Amino acid sequence: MTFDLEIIAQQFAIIRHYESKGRFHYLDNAATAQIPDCVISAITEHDTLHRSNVKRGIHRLAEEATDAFEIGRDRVAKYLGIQNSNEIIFTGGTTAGINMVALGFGQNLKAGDEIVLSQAEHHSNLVPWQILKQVKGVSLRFLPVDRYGVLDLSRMEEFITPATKLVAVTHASNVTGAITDVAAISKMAHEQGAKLLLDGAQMAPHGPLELGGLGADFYAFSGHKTYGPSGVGILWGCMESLEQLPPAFGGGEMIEHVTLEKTSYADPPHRFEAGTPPITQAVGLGVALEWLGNHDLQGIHNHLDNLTKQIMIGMEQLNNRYENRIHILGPPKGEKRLPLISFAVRDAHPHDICQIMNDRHGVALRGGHHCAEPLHAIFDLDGTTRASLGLYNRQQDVDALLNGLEDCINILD
Amino acid sequence: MNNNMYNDPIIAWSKRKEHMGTLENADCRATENNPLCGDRISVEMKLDNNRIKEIAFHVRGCILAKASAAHLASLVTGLDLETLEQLKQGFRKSLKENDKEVFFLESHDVFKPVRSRKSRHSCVLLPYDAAMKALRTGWRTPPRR
Repeated sequence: MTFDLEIIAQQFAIIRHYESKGRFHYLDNAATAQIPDCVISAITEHDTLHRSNVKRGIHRLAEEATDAFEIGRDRVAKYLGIQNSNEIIFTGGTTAGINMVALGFGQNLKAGDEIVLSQAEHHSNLVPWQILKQVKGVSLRFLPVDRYGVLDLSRMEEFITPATKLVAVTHASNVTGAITDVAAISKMAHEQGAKLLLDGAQMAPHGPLELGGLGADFYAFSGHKTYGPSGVGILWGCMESLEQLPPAFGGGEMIEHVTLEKTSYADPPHRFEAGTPPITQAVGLGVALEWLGNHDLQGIHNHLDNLTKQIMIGMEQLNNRYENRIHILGPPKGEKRLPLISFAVRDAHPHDICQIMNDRHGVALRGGHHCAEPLHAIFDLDGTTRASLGLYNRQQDVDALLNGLEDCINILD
Repeated sequence: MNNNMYNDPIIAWSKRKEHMGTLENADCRATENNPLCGDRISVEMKLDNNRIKEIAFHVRGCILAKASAAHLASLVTGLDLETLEQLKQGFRKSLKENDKEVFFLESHDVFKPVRSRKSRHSCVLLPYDAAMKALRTGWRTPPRR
């Protein structure tokens, strides 16, 4: 396996296109990553030569489409280190996957049962459980975060108890970049007889994941953050958990036998894929993850870690010049974190920073609460600005970010 | 016209302090949020025969929201709900119009650079939404009909 940064970057049509026109520094990968040429080609080829519905017809195109769809599933399984592809469910994204577990798992819950979340959750892993609470009367409990935004597990036993039916937490925060100690939570959850769901939206692009040994019972992530198409995601579940999980959605394909009175369901994964799935997108996602998995993933980690450290050092230097105006969230320099940095600049609103960065420096950032409003409230912040790296980001992107940040400080002073 | 959104006039409006704060014994008040960015605007008003006599904003938000709140506060004396709605619609139409030659609401010319940034329209319109909400449903003592 090789890792050549320029070769990787030049495999993205959107990077070639915009860099040919001027400055282009895409640092919003935690929101959506860009998509390589091979995935675009795969999608185009599928819809040009193999487009049909899956698992329904017996004509040539139906068989080709079904094969392509299931090959996509196999490719996803391989990236996740999963032997049994039937544990891979295609969904509409992370949000859809978590909602499916909330709806399905929640059917057998009752008032008094507890779901344990954390203060760091994205709204996708908070609101579905709030809805479940309204419908079923379950209680929600929230593991606290420390001052760096890392899940504080020091009092875990107070939160994860025999009343806990499910622990649902982020694998890594989209705001702080903090990575959860999954082994510790998994052990506690399982000792209490609870299942563990991980929101893997941010961690999935930074594989390998090896879900089989991770300790989770469910894992959800999105295709569009893992260099794949939008409109598709994955819910993985260990087969034992999937066999116990009621389906959240009913319709075509997920059935075994239907009468007017009742229906028996298909086995996983099809039990959880009601209706026509996102076929073309699933094909594209499989290609994306195969492409990603064929790279030197450790080399990519090291590269992105290096760029992240440079950003933090650069911000420290700006703080020395500008009276500590920048507050960086998340683990300190040198500690394990995702390659994303959310920060607050005193007296400067994130939207103003993002606008100036876009208009004057060609840098794409994200501003706001990043769908994690409670976490921002804990830090007493209305919102932050976030830079998040992808495998095609290079030194020039870091330089543009830091130069632009200094410009923002001067303009917004 | 300077197409830079962070030009001197907009920044100057954002720094104006008159009409910022709270009002004692306000007749109506409201708060509006922009869920996309976390901006929050609170407004209090004193009224005279259902028309705005005094106004005060508290803005937790970007420069555009602050500038628009200060700008709106300078225009609203004597307006009622209906005329405030018309003012907002005129501003909104100016922002959304695709034809760059279309007349931009003259009183709001300072915000012309915002037109091409659709994602920022809600920032400059948020003070209007807050003021209208206060007049519609934020009465301390509901008016006799």
